[in-house]
Amino acid sequence: MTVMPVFTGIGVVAPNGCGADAYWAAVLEGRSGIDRITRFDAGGYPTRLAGEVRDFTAADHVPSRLLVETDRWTHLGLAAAAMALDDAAADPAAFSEYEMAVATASSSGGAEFGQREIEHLWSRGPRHVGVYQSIAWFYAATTGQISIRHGMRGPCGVIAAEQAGGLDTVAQARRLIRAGTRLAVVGGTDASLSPYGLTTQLPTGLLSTSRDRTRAYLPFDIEACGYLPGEGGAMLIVEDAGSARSRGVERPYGEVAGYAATFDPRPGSGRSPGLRRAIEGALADAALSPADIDVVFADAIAVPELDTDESASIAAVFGPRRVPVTAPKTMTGRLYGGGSALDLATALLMLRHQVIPPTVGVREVAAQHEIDLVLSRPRPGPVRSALILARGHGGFNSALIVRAVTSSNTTWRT
Amino acid sequence: MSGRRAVITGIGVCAPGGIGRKAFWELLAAGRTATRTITFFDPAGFRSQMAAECDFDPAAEGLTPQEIRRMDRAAQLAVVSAREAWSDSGLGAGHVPAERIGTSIGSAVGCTMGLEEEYVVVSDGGRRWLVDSGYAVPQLYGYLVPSTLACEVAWACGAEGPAALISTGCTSGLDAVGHGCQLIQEGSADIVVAGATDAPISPITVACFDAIRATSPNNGDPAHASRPFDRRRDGFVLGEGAAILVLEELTAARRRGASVYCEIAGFSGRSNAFHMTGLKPDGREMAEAIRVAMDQARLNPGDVDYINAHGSGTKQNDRHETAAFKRSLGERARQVPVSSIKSMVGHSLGAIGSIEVAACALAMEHQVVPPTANLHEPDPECDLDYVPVTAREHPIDVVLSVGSGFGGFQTAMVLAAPHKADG
Amino acid sequence: MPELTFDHLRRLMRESGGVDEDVDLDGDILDRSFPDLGYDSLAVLEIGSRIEREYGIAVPDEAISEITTPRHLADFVRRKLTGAGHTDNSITIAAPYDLVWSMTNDVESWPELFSEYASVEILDRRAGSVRFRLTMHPDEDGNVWSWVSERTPDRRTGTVRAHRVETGPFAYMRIFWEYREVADGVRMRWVQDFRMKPSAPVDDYAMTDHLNRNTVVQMNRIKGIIEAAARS
Repeated sequence: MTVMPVFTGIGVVAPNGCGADAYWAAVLEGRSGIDRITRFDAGGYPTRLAGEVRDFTAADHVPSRLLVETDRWTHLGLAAAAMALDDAAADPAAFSEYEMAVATASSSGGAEFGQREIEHLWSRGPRHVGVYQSIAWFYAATTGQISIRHGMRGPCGVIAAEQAGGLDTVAQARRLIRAGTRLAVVGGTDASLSPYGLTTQLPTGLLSTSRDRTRAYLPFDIEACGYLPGEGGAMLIVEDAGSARSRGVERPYGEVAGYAATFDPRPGSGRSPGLRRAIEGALADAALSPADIDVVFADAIAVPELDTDESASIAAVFGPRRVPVTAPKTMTGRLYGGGSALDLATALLMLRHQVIPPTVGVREVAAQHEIDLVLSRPRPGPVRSALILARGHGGFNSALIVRAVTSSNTTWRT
Repeated sequence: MSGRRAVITGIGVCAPGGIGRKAFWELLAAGRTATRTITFFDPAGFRSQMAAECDFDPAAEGLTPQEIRRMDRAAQLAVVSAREAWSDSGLGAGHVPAERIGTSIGSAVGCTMGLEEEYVVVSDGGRRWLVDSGYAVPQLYGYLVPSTLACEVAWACGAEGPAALISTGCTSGLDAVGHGCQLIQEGSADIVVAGATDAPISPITVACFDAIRATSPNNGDPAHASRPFDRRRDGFVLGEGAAILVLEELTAARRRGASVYCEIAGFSGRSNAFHMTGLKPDGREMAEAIRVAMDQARLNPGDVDYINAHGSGTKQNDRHETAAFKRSLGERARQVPVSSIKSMVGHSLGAIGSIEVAACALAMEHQVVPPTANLHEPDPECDLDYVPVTAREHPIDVVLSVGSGFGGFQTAMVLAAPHKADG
Repeated sequence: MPELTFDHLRRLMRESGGVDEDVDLDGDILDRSFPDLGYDSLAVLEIGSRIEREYGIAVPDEAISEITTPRHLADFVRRKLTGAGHTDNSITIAAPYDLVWSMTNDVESWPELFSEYASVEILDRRAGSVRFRLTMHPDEDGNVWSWVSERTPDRRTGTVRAHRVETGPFAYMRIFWEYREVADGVRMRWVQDFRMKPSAPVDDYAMTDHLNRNTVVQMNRIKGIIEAAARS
């Protein structure tokens, strides 16, 4: 049986815009959400810039009962999921309960909530740990709360692979849809901008310590100096195409065309990293050739040697400078559990609007990167397909290909 | 379906009461309990002061000084288990290309222990909200992201195929094994190192279960505090541990002459969409998960020989799943032995699901049902055959194992003996 | 001594469990159940543990499962803080003030007025006080409870003070009644302050619960009888 999973709804909570429309407008304008950290006094930390979601009042999106019992990461996730369902015009009540599933990526769980409760424990004692720590901190909180809020009783899951997890949730949705699920909420969010959340990230040496918000996160640039963290992410609705069409969806954002995931060799093994294999695997899975891909959304970590691994992988598969490459995450920072989900949302909005979003801030691509990076201005299409790459800390590589759904796709023809 | 089937060919376990699958099985078969007063920290001031701790010396288990420094305890338990499983499977290095080996590890709370210990340092004992990053250790980010646990296992086994950390609370272990099984069935991998680990016995986890009064306060009698299905049960006893399995595609396993413990014949999850911690007494969603898993396995209720229960020992859980068994299996629920090994090894959150799968595979190997320890006064609301106190010899070809967790997750897995797997 | 006021309780509820959109916490919520108000088991636990921390009292598991309304919770805390039982209930009777006063202070008629008393025996009357023995109908276990009380009405202030002379299972029991003219009749309020003896078959908590339940029954019955008398 051939099943075609399609994207029918997008919900975005990003540092440069909440809601898919506001976010997309910001992306096209090249408006960045990178700024000084305000959620706490970051003046004493080497990294002081980040992509904070500021245009977001949790109480406008999340019932007050849920506000107190969940972390900011879950507030963002609940809001994005509701937006995505709304965008898809999918009313959960119109589905059978076991046909709906939730699969989210999680990277740091309820980081800020967790820090507050550990602080209570160590400064005041065990009796001062609140009841909700048990359901707010753990990585499954967002999936559980979305499932409860929307009455989704199908197979629900949580995947952690740092930045790569968001793409893996799409693969999970495809698996579920092949097994009979009609609708899945996928994607992820993250909110690790608490003092301890930031402190845990600093020892990796991968974070930028630049104080210039326009020049702090510059993947592939000759001045690449590490990345900036951000918060937020995206949730998406994936449905079986036949089912979506039968409920009246006229224009899905795109289809899941191919996916593959690999893991890097053990550090020091001398073997080459796994990103290229992931790209090739996704192409094979989609039965597409490199020439069929119109744009690549890069992982773009902005650490020179890791950027080189990525540009070399892209160039090896596609040929030097043969495919446009972009990194809109230069406007948000890396969102970890929310990062690749936001890249996916951006790619789908691109397919809808037929404009390749820019890589903001990069002026001069370093010579070793043989890629055609879309710089500060959006580049007009046509674009019919996109490859999204994501690497998760420790060695995770995921590659996802999405493709526009047109009347020539047999499964969508009416 | 593609016809690809996943079987277990290697088992590694680190559980309270003994390291290694042999010690683990001896504990279960003897009906011994490994719950005790917490020794990892001074539990005075906590409501529940007991846990099932592993007597685990990482150096004695072969971890190098650098590995010990780098890894959170959950990672150490996982890596030691993974190495045992790998060795048990008989797979040599290079037997299967690294690209065809996947990793699927479950954990509910990740590297909580490391995160808390390091928090205490950078916050100077909880005194600084703006923690001092100058004291952050190199591996700290690896503690923040639970996916590190999957990285460590993948490195230990030389796996370079798809890798993931599955974190669905207390069903993580079953879900991770199920995910690994799917990777094999769909052709994404030929071998998957799958299992779960958790090392949650640290002040913050104990305090957090204290707050919701989910753990037993029966501190005076730690060895008998975990009492699933008993009328006097008053909460679960926290545990720790890991179990890692080598999953393999059936025909490839047969081709290389591997000894097969059992097939993962069915796997299904459902959510109750009801409450983050509460359970409706009717067991409806768990029953549905069981029904779908049985369907996948193409087995009938009458085929089930043993049910490995979630059996956490909280008032509502044990009632909930008793109802789910009756709802999904009908009369068979009253005929088949049911037991909870949490009575002996405690509840190690995400890890326990895979530890229980290991127990099921070993039960099948030995044709012995592990008992429910400490069950002396049956609860009228839990009226099935829970194999109280003493292990029982019993022909076992098909096992149903279930899990239930915070967030509303309900998971069921059906394991079938090799000859059943031959169809 | 700190006290848990209803206002403070409302604040604790707000902070511990938020407020459902369709619930007005400042409205008449004291006798609505927590789930009905949108507070699930975790929210009640959270309120309970905040109270434990703020007031330094223990809220045991059994109490948590029995506390179903904000009023129960406030009663529980008050009792824990004062180490004593306390009830406070009111009803409005649509009848003239004098009729309400005279009928409810006619102790001889109590076996008809209340459903729970089998008989009353006046022992003594002096200086505006009446001392009497009340005997209840046998309870479910066949026990017949009986005790002696002394009662001092003050018509001028519209109040009555009473206490048990033979205290039975109570260490003490003090009663205060108050009558107030309101728009639609007379507001009659009964306040009981007491403590059970350690040897009593029930503790302060259970007795408070029992009295709160029984008082509502008796007040409604009395209201019916007096209003019928007013109409005739």
